Amino acid sequence: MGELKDYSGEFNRHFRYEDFSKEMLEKIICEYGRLYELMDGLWYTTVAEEVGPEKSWEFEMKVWRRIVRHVLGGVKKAANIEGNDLATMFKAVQLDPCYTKGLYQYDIYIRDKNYAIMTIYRCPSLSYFEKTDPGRIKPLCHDLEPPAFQDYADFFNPKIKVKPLKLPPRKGPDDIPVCQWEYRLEE
Amino acid sequence: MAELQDYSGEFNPDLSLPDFSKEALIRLLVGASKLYLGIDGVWTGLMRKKYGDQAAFDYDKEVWFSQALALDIRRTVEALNIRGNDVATLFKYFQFGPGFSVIYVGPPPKFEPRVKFELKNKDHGIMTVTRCNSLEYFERHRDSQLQKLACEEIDLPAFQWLAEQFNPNIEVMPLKLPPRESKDEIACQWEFKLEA
Repeated sequence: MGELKDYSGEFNRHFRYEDFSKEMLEKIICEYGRLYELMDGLWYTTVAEEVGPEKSWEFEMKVWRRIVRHVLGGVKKAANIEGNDLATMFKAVQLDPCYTKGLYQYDIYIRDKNYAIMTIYRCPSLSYFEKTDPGRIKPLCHDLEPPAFQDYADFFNPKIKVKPLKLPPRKGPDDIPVCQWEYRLEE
Repeated sequence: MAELQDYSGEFNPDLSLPDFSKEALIRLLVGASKLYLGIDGVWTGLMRKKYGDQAAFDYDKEVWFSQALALDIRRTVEALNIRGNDVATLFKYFQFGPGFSVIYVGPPPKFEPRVKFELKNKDHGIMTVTRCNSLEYFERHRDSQLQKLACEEIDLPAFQWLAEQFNPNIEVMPLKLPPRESKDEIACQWEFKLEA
């Protein structure tokens, strides 16, 4: 049997994920990454309707700071990633389901073992809030993301220090990159 | 370039997922699926601590039934180009359900499915969960409240609701539900039948 490019054919009782092409597996991993972010958004909205957006945002902050060890622990195990330098951390970032193809557009530049810059050109959360709820941009980008990015770094090495070089709000849709982050590994 | 079996090697700024072997991709698929359910679990846990079990479980049900299940179906069937309205089609979706079958697999490299599907014909089938990570978590933590929530208050109506999105005439009947007397027993079993 050839590789399946999708599942439009007959039901297969003896189904295995390996029956599918690598491109199909990539596509479905990306979909799960989106669903993972959407699930969080649904929770935020549901709780905000009951207790208000400010209180719900407090939970949102806690959720994203708690989930880091699950994200990175899972990726480390699945991809056998070991180490505590900048490159190791960015290898895990590349495999975070949120950072898989199509959702975010970003670039990672590692200048040397002690210095790197991550540049994000497209952020679906920012695009969504710019259209629907600009009041949430500052809490997300200024209050949540800097400590969350630092949490990612701390998971690998607390000596990695993260500093935002550019953060939203943007002047307009052409104001790219949307954000930029500096990483320094302190000796 | 040879397929990557894992990412223990050098950082590659131009990495893309198809650079990995299928086995590695399936490990990442399972991981992404766990996170999808995991973030729901983190929210539920915070709500339980702050507002108590009942409020937390009510929130959880609202999240799933208001939009999450619908998104779950739409994004999965569109990605896989799954079309149809019979039990066979529903089972195809279940096989890729991100919070379900994808998590319930054995270890690599075989990833033996722990949700088994027996199709008697395209309109009638039996689904058996031979091992369930969630049930094992509930048993380990002796959390019968959470087990009741998951198996009876969410799964039971959720399977019916999901089935109806494919065809409102599909009837779902649980043949066996937890709690179970021994770990040798299956976790649960369900019958899906498209009534004429």
